[in-house]
Amino acid sequence: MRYIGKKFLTLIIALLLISIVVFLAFSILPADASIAKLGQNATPERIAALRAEMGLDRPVLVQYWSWLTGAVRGDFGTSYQYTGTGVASLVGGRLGTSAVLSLISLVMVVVISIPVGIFGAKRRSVAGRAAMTTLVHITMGVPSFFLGILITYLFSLVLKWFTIGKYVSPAEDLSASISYLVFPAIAISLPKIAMTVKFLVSSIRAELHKDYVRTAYAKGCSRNGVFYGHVLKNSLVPVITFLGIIIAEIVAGSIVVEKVFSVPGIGLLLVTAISNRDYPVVEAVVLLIAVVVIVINFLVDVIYQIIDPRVKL
Amino acid sequence: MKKNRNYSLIIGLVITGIMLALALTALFWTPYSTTGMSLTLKFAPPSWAHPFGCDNYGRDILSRVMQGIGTTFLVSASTVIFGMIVGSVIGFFAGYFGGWFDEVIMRINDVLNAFPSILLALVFVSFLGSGLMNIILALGILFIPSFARIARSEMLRLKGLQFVQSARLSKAGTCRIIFAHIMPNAYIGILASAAVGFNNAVIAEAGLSFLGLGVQPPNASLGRMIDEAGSFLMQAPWYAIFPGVTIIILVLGVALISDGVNRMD
Amino acid sequence: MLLQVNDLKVEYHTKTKISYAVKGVSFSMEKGDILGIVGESGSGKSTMGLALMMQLPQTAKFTGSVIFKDRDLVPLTFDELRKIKGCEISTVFQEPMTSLNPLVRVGKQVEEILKIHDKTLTKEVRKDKVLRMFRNVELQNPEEVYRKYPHELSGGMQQRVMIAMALMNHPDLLIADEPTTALDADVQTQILELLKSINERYGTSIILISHDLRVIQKLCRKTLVMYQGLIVEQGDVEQIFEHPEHEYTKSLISALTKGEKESEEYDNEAMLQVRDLTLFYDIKPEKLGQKKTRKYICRDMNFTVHEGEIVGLVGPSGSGKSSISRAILGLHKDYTGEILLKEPNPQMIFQDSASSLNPGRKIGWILEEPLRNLRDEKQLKRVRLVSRVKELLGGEEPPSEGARLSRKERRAIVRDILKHVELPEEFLGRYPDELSGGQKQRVNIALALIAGSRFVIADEPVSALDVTIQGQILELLLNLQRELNLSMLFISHDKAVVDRMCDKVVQLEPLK
Repeated sequence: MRYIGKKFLTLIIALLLISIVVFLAFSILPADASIAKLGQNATPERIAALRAEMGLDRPVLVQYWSWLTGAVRGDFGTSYQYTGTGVASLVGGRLGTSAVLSLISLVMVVVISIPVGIFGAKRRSVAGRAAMTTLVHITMGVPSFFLGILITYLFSLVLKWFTIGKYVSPAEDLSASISYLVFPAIAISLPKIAMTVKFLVSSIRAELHKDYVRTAYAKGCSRNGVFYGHVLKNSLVPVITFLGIIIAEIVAGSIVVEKVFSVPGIGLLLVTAISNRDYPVVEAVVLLIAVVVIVINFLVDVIYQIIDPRVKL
Repeated sequence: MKKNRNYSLIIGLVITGIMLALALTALFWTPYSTTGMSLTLKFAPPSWAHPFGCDNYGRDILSRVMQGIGTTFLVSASTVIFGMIVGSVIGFFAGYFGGWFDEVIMRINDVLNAFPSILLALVFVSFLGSGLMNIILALGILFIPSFARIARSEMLRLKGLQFVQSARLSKAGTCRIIFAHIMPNAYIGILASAAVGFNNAVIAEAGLSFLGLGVQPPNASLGRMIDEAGSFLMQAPWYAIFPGVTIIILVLGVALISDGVNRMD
Repeated sequence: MLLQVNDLKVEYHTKTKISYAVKGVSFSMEKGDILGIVGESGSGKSTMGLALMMQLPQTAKFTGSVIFKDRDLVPLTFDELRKIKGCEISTVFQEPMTSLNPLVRVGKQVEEILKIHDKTLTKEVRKDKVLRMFRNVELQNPEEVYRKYPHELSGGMQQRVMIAMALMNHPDLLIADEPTTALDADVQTQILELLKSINERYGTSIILISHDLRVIQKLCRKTLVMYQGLIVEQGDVEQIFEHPEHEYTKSLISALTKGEKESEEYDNEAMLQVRDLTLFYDIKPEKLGQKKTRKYICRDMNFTVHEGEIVGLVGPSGSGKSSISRAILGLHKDYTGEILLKEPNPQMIFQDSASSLNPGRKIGWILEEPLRNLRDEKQLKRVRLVSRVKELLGGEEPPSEGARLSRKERRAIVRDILKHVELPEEFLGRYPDELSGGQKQRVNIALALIAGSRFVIADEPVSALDVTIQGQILELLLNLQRELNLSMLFISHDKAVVDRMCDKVVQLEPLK
């Protein structure tokens, strides 16, 4: 329990830290929001009036508190670009799409890389290993957006399995949505699969040399008995932490890949908002992704503790 | 001494060497002007005259790719060196002194590390603005945590060894212990991760440029070329493929080097 | 005849070369025997153990025959051997901690060996058998141990679990490869007694592999002595002890039985005086509101080391030997009482010669380092005097009195000290990894002496070394003591070594 308690404390601190950084970065540092709204030519009186109206003349701590309570309730103000549209509704409408996309990618990574990793670790021949290493390295080095372009070219333009831009939101038709999102998900997950395979293979190889493996053979275990009964579980323990990192990378990958496939998720929203200096939107999306990533990492730590009995400080 | 050749290292060095040579050549000479436009050559397919074909303005893609490699090298190398130096020093001190200093540094590190790298870069770019220097700075800051973590764990591994105690008994000062005694044993681990960092930087820079938030024209950038090519996939698939494959080969070369170095001992 | 080994040879094939680990070994063993195999590291004893367990790595090729219960094991396939391993032949390894799967409760791990060899047993029967065996190997609270993970048990308990596991299927032969090397001295004795009682109770034949002749002596009646892949001597343990024939055996035994050092009377000045020394450390409160607790390591120690004297500090692990040395070195600050040193900078020779030299630097650099760091004027003067720098440089005047040591001076001192520890000069350009364990320990001794220290603390300086090397290092230390009038605080758990080295002994007892 102490371990989880400590991790929970870290979680809270991390969330607070992130909220402060985001608040400072987007609400305080950039040219005053009132100027952003009124333009450079506004008279000082008008600016002062608007500042009072927006509450920008209050002390920073007070502003932070009202901003934070607003953020917790999902209130991030209104977008500069789409005037009058609440940031919350802008983000909320796209959240589902990105969530589904990330989830499909994660499932692909887990379902594909574990069997492939096991298969790869069991290869003994020099040629087999070399082929495996080369394949893994090439796949790891492909930027996901380039992979996305290749997939678009092959499956949309040549094979016509899907039409680029004809995206259906999950709320409308879940299966149609998924069958479109599978393609960006491949682009996101393929490099991650290669990374996970590489990690798992080296983890398994390291475990195979441990003393307890020798003990298992001395007991009279069969080769599969040793592998599936002893080695695999031990090799998967570090993979759990690794998957935490992979999830963060998947979220990052989706920001770029959404643009390739014109998927209207929060990644695409973020990129357009940055180009247009639409700070309330940028702020909300960054905070959202940060919170998701931090919470996922906390969950990974908890799972890790459940699986590995040694982590009980 | 092992007699069997370290093929990973050799192939990696050859690939990276060729890439570097191409980039350096592009500083003085490219087959065609990288900005010269021509209507007649619009979407010219690969040929002997233009091995990689031409783009939507009729510019020679090979010349632009050569220049793009240079940009990529410049950004990635500066980023990694910046991150490595700052990160190692922070990590060394945090690991050596431990206590609350270490605790604070490592918590901040955990938070930064858990972050998708490109997201942080986007945050920096969104208020620093895009451009070569800003990209280097944004990505460089991103790499500090990973190097700090590696330097710290190397330090934790090494500082417990008896030779450090023995150095303390020989009246060596703190800085001398860290930099003269411990660092020579840590740099291999740090350099190996520098290769990984370099590749991450290549992909991150390409990603940022692809999103239109990275290196700005007139500097050629591989990521930006792919972005532009995305709209002309039907007419000129080679426009996207050559810059993309170049990135893959570049990354593969460095990955093989790091693999080969890891295999040396 | 339980086991007969004929002309067993093991070769390791790597891409570039073939190395011979066991070069044709024959012996036999009766049912109910305890056979010892003794030898230093690299003698082939561990490889032979692995061969008998049929656990050799794939790079090893072996020929000859291993006839176990009238059946040759060598030509058997993996699956045929599987039925024998863990059932008729069982093993206990050196490191109980790493030999157990960290993620599985120990009860389950022990049960597995039953499950593999007899699939008809029900879960309840298996658990019952495990608990009974836990009791037989004298594990307290078997029910509780059953549910523990390996890291929750002490080293001794882990080894008992390993032994219980090995005995589950009542094997005819138990192979124990250095079963006590990783354990504390008193736990060692308990485990050896347990093995002996198992042999008596079940008639299990045991092969005990060890580098330690005394362990063999305690448990075995017969033994093989291995050296460079061959058996150089075999027969009755007692007889081998009394009439060793081979040179190697003789050196092994003489290393054990070197006579005690005669005490001399010293009126010389005290190099180290320890008065009413009480060591402790404070345990930080775990929860808010808890008070700080103080844990004592040792209380009211008094002893003196005179000039030219070697004082032994002995005691079981946990009695505070290392903490006392750390306090003397100034690394442990929590103490009351007095530590008075005649010289300002005491030096230390560590146990683990491998990790006490910086692997990233050459020997020359390492040895020069203490000289480079000297700044204090008094000490500089002392070093110049003690190391006779003037003489070493052929009468040349050193640059100036207070100046730091020049490169020339440093080199001269380093070369001189190398002569004292009997190492050739070309070692200066080598990295620690290129040296053997004994050579590294010589460098460590040189390192302790180089800055003019004539008082050193030696913390188990030979316990990580092979027996024959141990003898050489101890000899060197005694020579240095005579030549340089060295004083030493000598920490060891090994009574024979202490008897040979020390003028007097301080005995430590663990605090209750």
